[in-house]
Amino acid sequence: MVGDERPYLFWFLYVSKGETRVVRNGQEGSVLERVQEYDPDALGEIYDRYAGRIYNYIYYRLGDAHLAEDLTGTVFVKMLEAIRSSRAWNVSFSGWLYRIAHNLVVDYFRRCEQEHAAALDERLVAGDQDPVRVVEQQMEGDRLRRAISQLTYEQGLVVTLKFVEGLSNAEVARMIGKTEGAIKSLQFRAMASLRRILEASE
Amino acid sequence: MTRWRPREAGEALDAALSRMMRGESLQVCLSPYPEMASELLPLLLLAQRLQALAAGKPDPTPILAAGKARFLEEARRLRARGTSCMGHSPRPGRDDSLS
Repeated sequence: MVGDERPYLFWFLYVSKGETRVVRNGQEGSVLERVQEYDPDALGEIYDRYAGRIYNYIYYRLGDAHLAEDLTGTVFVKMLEAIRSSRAWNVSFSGWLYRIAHNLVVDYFRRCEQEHAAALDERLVAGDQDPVRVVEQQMEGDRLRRAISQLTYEQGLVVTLKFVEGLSNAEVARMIGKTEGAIKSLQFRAMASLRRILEASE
Repeated sequence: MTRWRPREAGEALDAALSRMMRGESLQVCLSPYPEMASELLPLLLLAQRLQALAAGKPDPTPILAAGKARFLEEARRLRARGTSCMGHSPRPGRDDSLS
């Protein structure tokens, strides 16, 4: 899929005159400066690095491959449109991309919930699959996705990054600008909320 | 829901999840937290459901190759237009206004 993200995930936080500032490491900072100039090589590098993760995030939230493909494209176009703003992201570039993706998912749920439900019902079952089992899996997926959509943005992001991408607490913490301890607490609250939501609906 | 402090509960769940993801049994994962086991067990079972959902995701590689070409073409178009894109920029401090 994409290469190892770790070299790009070093961020330095320091407090100056009451303000928390973020300094990007030289490697990602340099690439992002070139992205702001629409440098094709830098854009390609950023796309290769993040598109798979953004796709996975959207697919996990919506369960529709075509929609995930379309919305992943939209995320990157929106990134292009906004990248020249000095305030495009505050803490981490990847966190900003996930935020754009999240907003698109929320918009989608908001605008097309009924149409989406109809579309999910029309998903095809491959010839070698047990139709009953496939339908059960689809219903389970839909239940979980609907429940995740009721979590807060940060709770939903932590659940997705931990269980889909398999990121460590340290990686998630850097991405959303929190401590590892805060991520563990957030993870607990997310799972407890998810449990309550599912129990109420099952 | 819990009588445990958030930090304590967060640490316990995270440690139990880590052990579960390494393939240890639920009983072993919960053994260091007997007083919290009844609360942690449903969360571990929920985590297994979430992991199962992730396991079914398609390989995006071929899809993303086509998407990359479209993305670079859009960038080329914007670059050629010399647009500043200011009309599309988020307001200061409102990066979450993008949708």
